[in-house]
Parts: sequence; C-alpha cells; structure tokens
Amino acid sequence: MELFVLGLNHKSAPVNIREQLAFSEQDLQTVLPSLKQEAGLEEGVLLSTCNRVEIYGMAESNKSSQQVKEVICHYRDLSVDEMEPYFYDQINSQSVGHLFRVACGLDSMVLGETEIFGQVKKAYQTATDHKIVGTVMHRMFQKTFQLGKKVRTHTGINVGSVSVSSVAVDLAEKIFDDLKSKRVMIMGAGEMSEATVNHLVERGTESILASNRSYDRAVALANRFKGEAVHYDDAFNRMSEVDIVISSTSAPHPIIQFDQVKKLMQERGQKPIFFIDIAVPRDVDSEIDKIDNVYLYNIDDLQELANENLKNRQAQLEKCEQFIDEEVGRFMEWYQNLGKGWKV
Amino acid sequence: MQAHLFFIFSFVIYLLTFLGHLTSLILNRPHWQSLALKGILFGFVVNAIGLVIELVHTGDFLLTSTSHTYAFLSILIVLFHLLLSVRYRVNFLALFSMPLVLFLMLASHLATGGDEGRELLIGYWLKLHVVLTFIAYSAFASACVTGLGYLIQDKQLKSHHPGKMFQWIPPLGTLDEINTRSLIVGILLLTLGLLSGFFWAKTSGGVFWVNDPKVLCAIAIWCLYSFLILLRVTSRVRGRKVAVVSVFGFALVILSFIGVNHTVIN
Repeated sequence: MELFVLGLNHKSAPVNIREQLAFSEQDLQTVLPSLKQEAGLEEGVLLSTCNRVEIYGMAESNKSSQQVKEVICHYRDLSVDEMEPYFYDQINSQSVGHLFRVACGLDSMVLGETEIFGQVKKAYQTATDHKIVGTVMHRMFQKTFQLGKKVRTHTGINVGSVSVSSVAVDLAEKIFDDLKSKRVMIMGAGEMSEATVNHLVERGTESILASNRSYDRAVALANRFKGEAVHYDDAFNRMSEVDIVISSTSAPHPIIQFDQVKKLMQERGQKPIFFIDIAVPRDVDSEIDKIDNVYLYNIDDLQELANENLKNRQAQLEKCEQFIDEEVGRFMEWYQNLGKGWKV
Repeated sequence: MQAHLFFIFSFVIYLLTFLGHLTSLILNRPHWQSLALKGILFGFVVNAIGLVIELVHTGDFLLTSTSHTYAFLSILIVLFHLLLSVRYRVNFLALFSMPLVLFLMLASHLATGGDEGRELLIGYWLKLHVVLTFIAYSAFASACVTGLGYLIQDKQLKSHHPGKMFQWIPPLGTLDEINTRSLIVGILLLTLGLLSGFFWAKTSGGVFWVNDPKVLCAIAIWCLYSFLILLRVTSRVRGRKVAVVSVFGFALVILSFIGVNHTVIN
C-alpha cells in the first residue's frame, strides 16, 4: 500500500491551466467514484480550490498516481502529455507532510490564510459521503484538523492582515469596534479602494456613499455596492454623516484640508473619523492627523503594516514546520504499525 | 486572624493574575488571557469570604475603620472588573485594575484608625450614603481604567505603527462605551450618595458639615465629573480628552481618599 498526493497548484501551474482542471461539487459526484473504480484507489480525497487541485490517495500499486492523472484529465478532455509538466506528486511521509502544510496555509498564495482549512474539511466531507474514505484517510484528515488548530493557537501564522485593504479594515475595527452601523464614503475609484469597501461589506458595513468627479461613475460605483451616489461638490458636506472615508481620486493636490476637517469635527460632535488615503499623490492633508479623534492612514502606512505582518508570519514558519514534522512522524509510525503486512 | 489569611491569599491571587497577564503580553501568548478572568473570579470569592468574616467579627458594617473602607472599595472594583469583563468580553482590564486593587488592599493592610467617630455613624441614611458613594467610586475606577486603555490605544493608532498592546486592548469604540456608561452610573450614584449623606447629617443633629474636608472633597469631585459628563453628553468633548479627565478625576478621588483619612486620623 502506498500513500500519495498528486496535484497542481498556483506554483506549478498558471491560472489558465488550473481553471481547466478545477472540479465543482457536482463534478465530484462523477469523478470520485471513477477514481475508485478506474484508478484503483482504496481511499481518496479530492481537494479543488481556485489555487489547487489535489488528490490524496491510498492504493495498492505504485502506478496509481499515473492512473489518477489519466482519470481526471480524461474527465476534462485534456491530454495527459500536455498537462504532465504542471503536475507534482509525492508519496508516503512526504504526501502526509504536504497535506499538513496545505491545511495550515503554508502552501497558500497568502501565507497562513485560513480559508484553505475549511476547504480541506469540505473535501474530506465530500469524499466521506462518497464512501471513499477509510481508516487511513480518516485518521490522516482528523490529524490534519487537530494540527491545523494547534498551529493556529500556538504560532502567529495567521495573525495580522497581509494586504493593504484588509489592514485598513482591521484598523477600522480597532477604532469603531462594530462596523455594521458605520457609514463609508468612497471618493474616486480604483481597485484597492474597492477591495477595501468589499472587506468592509464582508464585516457588516451596509451604508455606502460613492462620489466621483464624474457623476455617472459615482452612480456606477454606488450601484455596485448598493450605495448612494453623491455629487463631487457635495462630498465634503456629506462627510459629517460618515465614519470612514476612503479616498483615491486622481487630484494633483490634497482635496481634504486641515481647516475643513477641524470644522467637520465640530459638526459631527467630535465623533471619530477614519481617513484611508490610498491616492498618490495624496488626497488628504497629513496634518489632520493632529486633530483629536481623527485617524489618517495613507498607502505607505498601510503597506508597511501589511509587510510587517507578513514578516511576522514568515518568522513563524520554522515553528510550524516543527509541529508538522512531529505530527508526520507520529502518523507514519501509526501507519506502519497498522500491521496488515502492507509494504510501505 | 482567619480573615487576615483570606486577604493575604486573595492578594497573592490578584498579584499572580496581574503578573501572568503582564508576562503573557510580553511573551505574546494571547491564549493565557482567559485564565486571568478565572484567576480574578477565584480571588474575588476568597476576598469576599475574608471581608464578610472580618466585618462579622468586628461588627463594622458601616466601614468606619479606614482599613475596612479600603478593603471594601478594592473588592467593589474587582466586582466591577468582573462584570465589565464578562459583559464586554474584554480581558485587558486586569492590566490596569489589578494594580489599583493591589494598592488599595495594601493601603487597607497598613491603615489604622478611623474608629473614633463610630457612635456618630448610625442610621439608614448613612448606610445608604456609604454604599452609594462607594459604588460610585468603583464606577469612576472603571472609567479611569478604560480611559487609560483609550489613551494607549489612541496613541498606538496615531503612531501609525501599532505595537503588541494594540491587539490586546479593545477597540476605541468599546472603551468609549464602557467609559461613558461608567461615568454616567458613577455620577448618578454619587449624586444620590451625597444627598443621602446630607439627609443623614440633617437627621442626626442638623449640622450640614460643610467644613468637613471629606464633604468638600466629595463636592469637588462631584463638580468635576458633572462638568465632564455634561461636556461628553452634549458632544463638546469626546474620546481622548474625556479619557484624560477620567484618569485624572480618579487620581483625585484616590488622593482625597488618602488625604481625608489621613487628616481625620491626625
């Protein structure tokens, strides 16, 4: 018996390859049974996310990973030869270590992200439903979930956001606590500012005002977030109603000045306000940071925090690998002691 | 003697909880924090048993002795701490409330005197007065603690490079909410406490006692907090400035406490 993993991920294959081989929940209804029948898997789990397609399996013959390749390529009408360079495979302790690393987010595009943990859980669940999971895979995945929790609690691998937009939202949560009742104004458009609004919406923000020099674009932006469009000239007057201002206009000079904000704070009864200035050149006069209850972060501040967080995560790698090695050792010992006379 | 042991035991528990909290902050072990709440809860139970034994033993339910006054205030602050920690799911409070509690317990241990005027101190108004004033002061203690947290958090945010403390201390919004509510509860109780004090003074001999430094201090404290709360609820000041006054206001409470008890002894 041999444990193996066969797959491709964001490091081994570009997106145009990965998307051809991605399996939906529905596809799995057909693919999982054929993996068992045609590729001769004793046990197996298929993990398919936007960044990876991987099959963890146990089979009698050491040719099974080749057969798995044929089954999945055949299902998608792809040529095995053409796909060959994008695949990687590992066996036994390496494949177990790989699964552990994947589930802990160490193999992810964003180091330490936790979404993958849920995706692994779901893949395991689906395979269990198809009765293609037995003693070995069952234990292997249970150990994965225990390890994932342990790594999260005992290392800082998932601590701190690593993208500019999520760092901004984290800061907003540290200022306002609950973002649900907060109003946001977005000035100008841009990928990063819209990503920030998306993050805010994910955390519960409902009320969004959109403003742009071109009113049509403001309307388009507002529609995207089910918000309200505001005329550019009116934007500053409406600022007394909002708690967060995300600014990314292409204005050549600061459009939000110290004196204006000072007056604004009186109008809004000194309620805290958070300016996220993503524009270059900057939209907001940096002096306003000196006003009480006004918080201002520009693109460099946010990027720096994101970089620091990433560095902190990287510093935890060694500790994570140590946990993983220990767990792989324990698992392989159990596996070898199964005593069924398997040749490992 | 028994009560004494309970006090020492609870003192040690509070101290350990505080040191543990500090260590977990330095070593960055956030999961230790939930232990702090359990530790303080345990310490509180021990402390409360000790205080009850002590009061039953001495019969000093009106807290006329200085030592009991400090002991009672410290245990009320612990109670407030527990209520707030559970209600707002915050752990950081221990960092600031425990030193305060430890300080008051130490003061309670060292304090002597205050018993002289006991025969004067009778009547229901007085009981009401003592309890209300003390709860009011504990509320101001909680405003002070959240105010400190607010100042640290505000500084972290303004620095653009938040450090370790940043993750630990709750958001400004939460701190502001606890702070404002504590201030309002504090001023309402202090107002009632002062009124019941006046009633008591009137019924027990008709003296208004304005010349008593204790009364003057209480009125000064009342004025300060009333002014602060007036500015806060009318949104003329908010955030950092309220936090600063909350901290200094409570420092004044403690100073007057010590000062008054000291002058009474002399």
